[in-house]
Amino acid sequence: MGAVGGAGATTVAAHLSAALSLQQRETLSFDWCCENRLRLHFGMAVGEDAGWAVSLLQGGDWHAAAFRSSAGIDFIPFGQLNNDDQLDQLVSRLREQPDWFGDQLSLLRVPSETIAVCDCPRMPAVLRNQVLSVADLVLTIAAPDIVSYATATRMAHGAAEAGAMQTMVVLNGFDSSRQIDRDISVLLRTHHKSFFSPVVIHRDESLREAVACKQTVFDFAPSSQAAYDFSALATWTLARLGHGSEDAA
Amino acid sequence: MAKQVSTLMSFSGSDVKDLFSHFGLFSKKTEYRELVREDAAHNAVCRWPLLAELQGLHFPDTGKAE
Repeated sequence: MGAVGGAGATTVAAHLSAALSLQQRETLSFDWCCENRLRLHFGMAVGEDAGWAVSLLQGGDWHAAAFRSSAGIDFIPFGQLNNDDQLDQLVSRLREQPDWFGDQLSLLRVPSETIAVCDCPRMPAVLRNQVLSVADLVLTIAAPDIVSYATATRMAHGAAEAGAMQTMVVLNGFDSSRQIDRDISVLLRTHHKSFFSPVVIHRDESLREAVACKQTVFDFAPSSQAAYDFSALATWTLARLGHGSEDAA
Repeated sequence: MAKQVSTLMSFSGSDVKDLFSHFGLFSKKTEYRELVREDAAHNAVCRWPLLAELQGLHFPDTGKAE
């Protein structure tokens, strides 16, 4: 989940899924953001409207909206809603069924060690809470700017005080040549050490180029800094989850 | 501002006298590393007024929104 808009949560979700898959872990990527962008990292056609939300609203089987990328990553896009009324309908429906996602996950016939990686929106709250209520680990993605830092750390401390699931802050787009990036990194390491992921995602142009080519960096630039960082993030995530035997969101 | 600068100076890692007062003559490397990081965090907070405000510090000479 992004601390603020544009923090790069969708990019992190896509690449965490890809990295886990490369480490021979069963993964399933869910897009819960109505912007419907996760699919673009996996090569889905821009004009393709299918997704779980669309299927649900049309009364169809949402499982039919599952796809597999050419790299072998299983993902379920949100789907392209046509207008705000459709989003309102979806929100109303899920408000009446707050355990819908948890129920659906338990019904899936997938290997028990499958890790569900969700691109979780901050808003609407009804969608966010569907994901957070079943999450074992929440990664709050923070850009190296002060507003993002303040929001992410407040979210992590708030979750801890509420006794919610473990929430960790991942710094994304870090550039050591920039003073403010170094300062935010130091503050996270000192004042928020217990919530701070030791893996930092560095700013890397190959990320923008990869999505422009409808690929992840593991296909587009496997030797890049970003590929290395996301591989490390996957390893660290598995460790946080206890050898990868539980689900992540 | 002057007060914060003087606080900063008293924790400066370049002040050998202060280092001895923190650790004594025979200290552990890890303790030194932690102190350097604390110094860096303090410098970071002092550098950016919004960050300082978020950490509960205030700069009286910072411009105000109109």
